[in-house]
Amino acid sequence: MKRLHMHVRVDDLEKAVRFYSDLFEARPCCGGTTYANWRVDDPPLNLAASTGHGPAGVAHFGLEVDSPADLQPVDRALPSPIRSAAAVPWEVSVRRQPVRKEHTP
Amino acid sequence: MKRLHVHVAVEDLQRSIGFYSALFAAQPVAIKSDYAKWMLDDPRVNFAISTRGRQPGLDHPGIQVENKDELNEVYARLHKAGGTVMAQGQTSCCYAKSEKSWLDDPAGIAWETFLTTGASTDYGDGTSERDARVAHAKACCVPQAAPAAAASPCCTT
Repeated sequence: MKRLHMHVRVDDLEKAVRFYSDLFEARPCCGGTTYANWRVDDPPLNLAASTGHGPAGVAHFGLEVDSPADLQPVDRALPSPIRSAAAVPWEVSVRRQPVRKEHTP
Repeated sequence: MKRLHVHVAVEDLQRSIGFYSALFAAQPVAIKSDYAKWMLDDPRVNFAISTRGRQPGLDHPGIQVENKDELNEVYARLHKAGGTVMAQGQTSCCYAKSEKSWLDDPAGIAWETFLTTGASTDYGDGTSERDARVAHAKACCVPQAAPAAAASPCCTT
């Protein structure tokens, strides 16, 4: 199953972690001092929040797919530069196992 | 089961319909002169675009629920999360009749929580939407180049 991804830039990560954990009734699966990631099942959502790379707001949306084969039709129809240049930037990625990391480039 | 909602403000509706139809490999379930909506199951998303925003970009995300129990459950979460919950109650917006509330997140993004109860033949007459959204200086559903006071009633009054 595909899952929508939303990455939000925040000023205060601790405050954001409290807020989104309450809103989605779920704790972050992973993260660090500048990054947190939630894998929410209801509604299905891969939510990320991070500090230190721009003003507060949505950094980008994403479409998380199950396999590399799922990427191909999207890449053919909408190459990455076109998705990145949209008013709301979109990334398309294959689902990964959650990993602990400090920041998303 | 709940469904994520995303409403994006666009400038060129037809071009954007092409973009998102390709991205989701699905056609919209609703197309109006100023609005289009995809009701997707994979990913499970209610995705809408409109030309009603002040500027292109995210208008708002939200959580769509399926019944009153889920609505009350998410409303309780909004209050637990803190901040000012703008309870809008029954309203018509975006060609749908819904009960909804709004809450700003720490990044200043207004999250909508709503239960859709029926369709609406026009974009809407959300009589309390101005308090709910414009009070937060957001762009939801305010037609471009129109001041909020003179805007279409949907989402602005």
